[in-house]
Amino acid sequence: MTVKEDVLDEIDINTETLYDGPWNVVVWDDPINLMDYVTFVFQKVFGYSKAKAEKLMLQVHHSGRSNVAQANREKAEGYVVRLHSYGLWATMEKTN
Amino acid sequence: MTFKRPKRFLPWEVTRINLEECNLFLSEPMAKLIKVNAENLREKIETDATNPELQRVFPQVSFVEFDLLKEFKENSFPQVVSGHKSVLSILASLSVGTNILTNEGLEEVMKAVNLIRLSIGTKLNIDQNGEIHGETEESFDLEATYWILQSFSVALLYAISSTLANGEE
Repeated sequence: MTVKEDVLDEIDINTETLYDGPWNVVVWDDPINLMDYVTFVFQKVFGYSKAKAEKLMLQVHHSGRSNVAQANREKAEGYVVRLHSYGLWATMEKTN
Repeated sequence: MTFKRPKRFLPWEVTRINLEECNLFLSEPMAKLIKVNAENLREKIETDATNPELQRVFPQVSFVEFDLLKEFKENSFPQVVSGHKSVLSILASLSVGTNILTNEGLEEVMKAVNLIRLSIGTKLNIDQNGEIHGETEESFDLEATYWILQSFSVALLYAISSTLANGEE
């Protein structure tokens, strides 16, 4: 392997590490969380307005799920941890 | 468990004192009920956080990606577990009567009340509309206590979230 190829490999690895996303933060309709409570949590965790939080909550309720935020993997994981701390069913998945 | 009969019975109340603080009043039976259940749930989490009874308290992070699940379990799951234990300790430490709490403190209490509600919801096998999906294996007395706590926690959760939301408007 030449020196040039070594450098290229390194660049590829770094690019892959940096570009790991975006990821969707998904909240699922669960059988027990209260609608007002979910709205409050969306406002608190994402800083959304009440109207936007309510819209997302209703999407969760009617469609069974909603992509509530999009972020890189680390940030998305942080959101999921916060949502779990409020007892919400949140997962994350890579965007297509 | 002893209970001093009060002259006037106010089960619980959440009131805003100012922009930073709220008062959570808890009657003796309500304070004792949530204390016992907060301690029990904390102990259950401490013993085995993967207990199927805690499935609503600890949801999954991904339904498909094995690596993500593994990584989350190793790195982030302990954070969620310690967060749950911490808020349940706060709830268990509340006094009978007046509890002056900051907005952040009240929010921690709200999280803990919701955790209790989630765990009881699993025991009672009910959904958010109150529909029951199957029998429970609890004794009549214990099931009655769970129903009381379930109703109480729903109402308290609404009161806390609306009090907190009012403080932010």
